[in-house]
Amino acid sequence: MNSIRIKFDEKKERRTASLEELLIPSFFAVLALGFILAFILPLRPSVSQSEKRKLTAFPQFSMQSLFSGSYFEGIDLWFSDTFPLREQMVSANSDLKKLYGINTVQISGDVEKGDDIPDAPTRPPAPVITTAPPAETTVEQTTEKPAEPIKTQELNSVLLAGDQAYEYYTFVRKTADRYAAEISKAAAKLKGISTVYDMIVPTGIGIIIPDSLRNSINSSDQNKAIKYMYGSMSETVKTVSIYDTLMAHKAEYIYFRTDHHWTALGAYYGYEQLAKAKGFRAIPLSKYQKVSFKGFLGSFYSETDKNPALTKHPDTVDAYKPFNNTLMKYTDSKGKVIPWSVITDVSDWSAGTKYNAFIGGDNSYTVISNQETAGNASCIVVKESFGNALIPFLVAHYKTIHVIDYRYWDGDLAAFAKAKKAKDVFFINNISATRNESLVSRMEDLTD
Amino acid sequence: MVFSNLLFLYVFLPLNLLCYSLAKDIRTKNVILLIFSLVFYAWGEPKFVLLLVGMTLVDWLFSLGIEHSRGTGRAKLWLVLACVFSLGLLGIFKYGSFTLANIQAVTGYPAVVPSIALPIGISFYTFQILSYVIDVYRGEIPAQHNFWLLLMYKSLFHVCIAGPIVRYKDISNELLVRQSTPAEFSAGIMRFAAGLGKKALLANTCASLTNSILLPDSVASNAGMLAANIKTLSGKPSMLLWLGVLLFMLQIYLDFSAYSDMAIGMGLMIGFHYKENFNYPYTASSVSQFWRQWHISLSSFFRDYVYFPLGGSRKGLARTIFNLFVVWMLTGLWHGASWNFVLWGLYFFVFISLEKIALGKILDRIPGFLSHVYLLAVVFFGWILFRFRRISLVWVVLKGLFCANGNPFYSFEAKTMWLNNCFFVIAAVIAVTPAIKKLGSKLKNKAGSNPAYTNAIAIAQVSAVVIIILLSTLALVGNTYNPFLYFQF
Repeated sequence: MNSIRIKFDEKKERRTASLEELLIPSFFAVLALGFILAFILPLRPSVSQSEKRKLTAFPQFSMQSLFSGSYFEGIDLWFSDTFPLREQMVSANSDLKKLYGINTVQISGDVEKGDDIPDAPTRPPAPVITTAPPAETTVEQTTEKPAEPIKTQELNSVLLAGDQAYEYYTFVRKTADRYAAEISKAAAKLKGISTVYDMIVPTGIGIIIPDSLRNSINSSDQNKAIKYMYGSMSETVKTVSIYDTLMAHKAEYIYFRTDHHWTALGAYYGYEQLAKAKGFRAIPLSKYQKVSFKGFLGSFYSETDKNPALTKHPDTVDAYKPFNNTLMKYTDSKGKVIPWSVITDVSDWSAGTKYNAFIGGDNSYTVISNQETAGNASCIVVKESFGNALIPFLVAHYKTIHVIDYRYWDGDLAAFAKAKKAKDVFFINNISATRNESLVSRMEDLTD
Repeated sequence: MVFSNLLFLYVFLPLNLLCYSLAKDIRTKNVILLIFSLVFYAWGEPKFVLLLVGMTLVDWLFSLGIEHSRGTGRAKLWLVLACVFSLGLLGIFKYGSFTLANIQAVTGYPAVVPSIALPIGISFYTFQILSYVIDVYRGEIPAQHNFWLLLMYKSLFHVCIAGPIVRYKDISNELLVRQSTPAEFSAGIMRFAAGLGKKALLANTCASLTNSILLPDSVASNAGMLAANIKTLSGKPSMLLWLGVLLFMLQIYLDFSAYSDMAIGMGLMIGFHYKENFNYPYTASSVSQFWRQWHISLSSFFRDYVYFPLGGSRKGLARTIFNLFVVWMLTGLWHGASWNFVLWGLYFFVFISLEKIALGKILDRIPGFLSHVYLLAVVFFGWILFRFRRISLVWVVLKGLFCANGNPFYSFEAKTMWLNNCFFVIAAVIAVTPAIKKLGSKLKNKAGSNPAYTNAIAIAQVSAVVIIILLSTLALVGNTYNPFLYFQF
């Protein structure tokens, strides 16, 4: 018995020995590999293409940062954030994460249930304007908001089904009411100066979402919400319904897959309805020269932590160039006036910025003048970024288009319209803006 | 610095092991270990290295005093002074703001509660040094005459900042005589890799999912956002809340035991044998058993230095219950300067007392799986108390689990969350059980002495270690900050 035991122990010795002989060198080889790789400094990236951000830089030394510990913390961050081959590793890691579960549909962010949308709209009495429209002089005070930029890009939760993402829409009754009241107030203040048109643009989740998902998800009914808001506006507002049109075209490429905006094609269908409401003939799309910019990875891409399903199928930004000779100038964040073109070639721009092809992106104030149109017709477009894709189609119809991004522009709309002799004021707002309290507050500043 | 950090993994640890293995004698090895440990600590808390060293110096002097005056009343005086000093520092740094805030709430003074930064690891290293001083007083060990060795013990980077709470007497012999055999070194590597994987691959994912369901701690603790947080949490579908609490339950074990695994593993690599800190606590079938398997170094600390000195269970039932009350209140408070932690400790006090009185006997008699379900339920609900510093949020989540907030059970989004992570949850649940360990030993037994099988197993083990380290690296690259949960304690 004893001898057997000894034999067994000998075998055991040999067996564990073979493990050690392999394991210890392998372990040190892995550590050594990591060590060497980590110190090949030229391999360390400084910018992440996929995340569209500058990576953490090596911290600046100071006695204070040394004692507070932030210097060492900075080194830690720099070390792992700029690790050689990081892009490949990060993307391998997100591939790995696909194994976590069944991913036919994915949701990022916290979905909150919206308020109930009342069946009958509440039409408020026309707002009483207490103050007379300010004198024209206030127009000159129209300046850039110098303070830190307000948070304008605040996406709701994002649903990813296949290679198409959607932003959830949550109806918020209080904010929707404030939006409707604000448009009514603007119409009242602009009475006698301009006609106010309001277009609420549905987002993809209300239009192109597959029917199999439409009724299960906790996204509010956009058709009903838009009807409610339109119904709640005073009759002086000319509302432009585009929901049904977009639904009729839902099989087409009218929304991006990787970004929350509509495409120029979607915007064109919106423009057709606007033309109808305004009473002018929409110019057929075929009259325009189409330009395409490939490789667009928009807001959904970053919002879903660069989901590989989106990476593998980027969007293409199509744009339709105005056929008239135009001049465009926008005011940048420092108040500088910069000449630009209505459609910019963004082929070389980074993947996340290609929606800026339209009217130079979001600037507080942009003016587009058509050099070929006779007369003096001018209009004002009050918009956030959804308006950008539609505005190029308006160029043919006006001598001058004043574009106001209410998020950045400060001034009095009525006084401005009076000064610019704008007969038409178009509010073009995507439906998500109407549930966003900070955006609606900014709109209210237009008439305060 | 933390262990699940690429700088630690690919720079600090290799340099440490390299320098260590180049050193010929134990004295040099100890000097290297001390320097690395102080750098490790200073990396996170440059200022508080002074606290660490100063506290050790004073306690060292007290311990010499105790030994010098052994047998006289003065020894006791030195002990009391050492305890007052060490616990006093812990009290100021960890509970100062909390105490003042509570005084302010009652009396209105002071007008401004200063916020005192918590030095990393103070709860752990204070207990380590206390165990040393008390054991010297009890005569269980001689005082350490070499200050640097005591400092090395206290600052040892393996265990200094997040445990396990290694007692001086358990490793005092290894301070001067220790050796790691290749077999132990290998075991250490495997243990370290297992811990790294648990942290980087499982616990961090649990954490990000939990944060998305139950709000991140920074948001949930924000007093100004209380109303919004209540609204958010009370609207969550019940099936999502169950997932959130389950993931938190998995996270807290995986995260904390991962740290202990890595510490124990690195100890083995250089010949330190730290005691186990966890023994698959979620497989327990009573609360008392759970606490014998969870954070063992802490619960045994309170047992040996508080519960037993108070008389333990030898002075009648009423006194036993009182002693348990003291121990569990302290255990709760040790986890954080906040009332929810005290309540969390007392919550376990209630169940342990009930088990002592009658429940324990019932649990012994009913079928095993029922007692197991009982334990899991107690622990599950306990973690809600642990998660939220604001009791109103605890209540909201508790009600929400049973749809008592007017919240639905099901939603499409909640179902999606489950589906998206179903395999991950299964993997994490397996990781908290001894299943893999059992499977491994079964395979080894089956392989017996067949060299082909044993070789195959060895290759599988080596591959597993390499793959885990590489996958963890992928997960940690670009992951900007992932502190261990138990850092806050």
